[in-house]
Amino acid sequence: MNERDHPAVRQEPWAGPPIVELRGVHLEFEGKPILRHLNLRVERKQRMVIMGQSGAGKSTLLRLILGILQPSAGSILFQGRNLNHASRREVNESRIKMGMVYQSSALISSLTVRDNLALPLEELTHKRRAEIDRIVEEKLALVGMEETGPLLPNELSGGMRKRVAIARALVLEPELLLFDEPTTGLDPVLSSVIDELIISLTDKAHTTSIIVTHELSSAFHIATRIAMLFQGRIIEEDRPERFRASHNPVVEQFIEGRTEGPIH
Amino acid sequence: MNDLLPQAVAEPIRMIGGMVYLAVDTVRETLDHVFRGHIPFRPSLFFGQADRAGVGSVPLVALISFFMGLTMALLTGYQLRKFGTQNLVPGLVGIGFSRELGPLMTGIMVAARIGAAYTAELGTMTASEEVEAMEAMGIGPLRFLVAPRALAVFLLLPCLSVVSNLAALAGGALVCQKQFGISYLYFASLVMENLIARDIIAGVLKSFLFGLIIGLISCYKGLTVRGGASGVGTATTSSVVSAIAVVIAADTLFNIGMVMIYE
Repeated sequence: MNERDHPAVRQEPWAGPPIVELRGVHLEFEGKPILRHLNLRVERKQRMVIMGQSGAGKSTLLRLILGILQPSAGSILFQGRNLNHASRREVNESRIKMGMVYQSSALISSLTVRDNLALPLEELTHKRRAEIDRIVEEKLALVGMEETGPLLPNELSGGMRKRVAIARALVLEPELLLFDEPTTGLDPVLSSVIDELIISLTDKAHTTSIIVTHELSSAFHIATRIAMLFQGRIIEEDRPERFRASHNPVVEQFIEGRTEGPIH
Repeated sequence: MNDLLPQAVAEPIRMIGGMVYLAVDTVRETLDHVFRGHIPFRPSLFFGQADRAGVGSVPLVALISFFMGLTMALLTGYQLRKFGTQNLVPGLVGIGFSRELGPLMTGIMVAARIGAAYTAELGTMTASEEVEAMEAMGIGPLRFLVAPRALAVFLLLPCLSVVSNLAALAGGALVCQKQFGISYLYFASLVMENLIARDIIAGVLKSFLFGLIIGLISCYKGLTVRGGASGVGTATTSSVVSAIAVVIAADTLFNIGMVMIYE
């Protein structure tokens, strides 16, 4: 059976046009397959959580959507535009509509927090200084980091860096937010703060989010849909409550955290 | 051995290919940004790098060149005095430095001082995903990071070569005045008498070439770092060694070319 027709991947009949669609995406590194003819649709305003083992290719999936990696086969569509066949300029235009929050935060270490946020606005828009300053202050306030503007990234804690990274991802008002392990390494309270922030962004700003994580509590709290990546394929994709009740042995083992099962 | 030989050949070819791709891609990314109605990069980025690569290197280049000019005049002077031809020393120092040693020594010093810094800096940014984050935001990292650095070292190396030449001449003049009784003014006139435009042009062209080589190698090595902190260290060493070796090789090829054209 074609993977696109698999019941776990099939979309709700009422679903609108997808903001991101991966069709038969296959990716190999040095002859080793990472993703195998993977299909995934992410609808607008969804919070799609992608779960899977470490090294399963979850972060790679985000890099493919950003156009940083090119698939060996298959196509990646963002707002209907095939990024594989797009010019550099078109890919950059698409990237401006996306915001990425890295696991390591990836703030520019030589720039202050304020300059980190101002950078995309200065480089990619024709906005005036006053407007840039206003947007920077607004986004810092949104993540509760107003006081950190003059600080350098290495003067912030891990959680603060993560929140600044979210603020940076928001400055260009993206339509799609990509989060790579947003709560990894954070204490439970801060994790909840980040989770709530992600939820409020989708609800208030009507942003679509793709969140890569293997923190189950966060995943079930945030997600409107959850996909399970295993051996390079999406083996289950559903609403959180149905995903939790799945009888797929891989999903069951992953949720229960058992050592015995198909996941080695 | 069979495995080593292709690797030994493949690695330099891969590096040259990567550097050409880096240069072309940097120009393309920069032009693309200009066509979108922006300036290529912030002037402050370029001037910051120019200050670091150029002004910051002046003391080192001047000091080393001064001592080299001094030593060159001293050693050649004592030999030439035996034949009563110590008046050739100013011309020797002048031609030697403007055409050969000035650009070459400056290239080596800049490769060690600035090339290493560029590689370490870009390597650290690559390892901590900062470069990728820029790309993900749609900010061309080549335009933003490579273009101002490469341009600064490309444009500033000839200026540093001039500093090197002047410092070496000062060292040579000092020795000639103290040891061989050649006054400063006579030294200057002998230098002017012996130097021809071709020597100066050759030195300037070489300096531009060396600047381009150092800029591209150091940025390429930095952007292709793999393996975190140890990878940055390895890349930095490799960058300095490669840049110095390529600068010397390019110098030799340039000299052969000049001899074939003019002699």
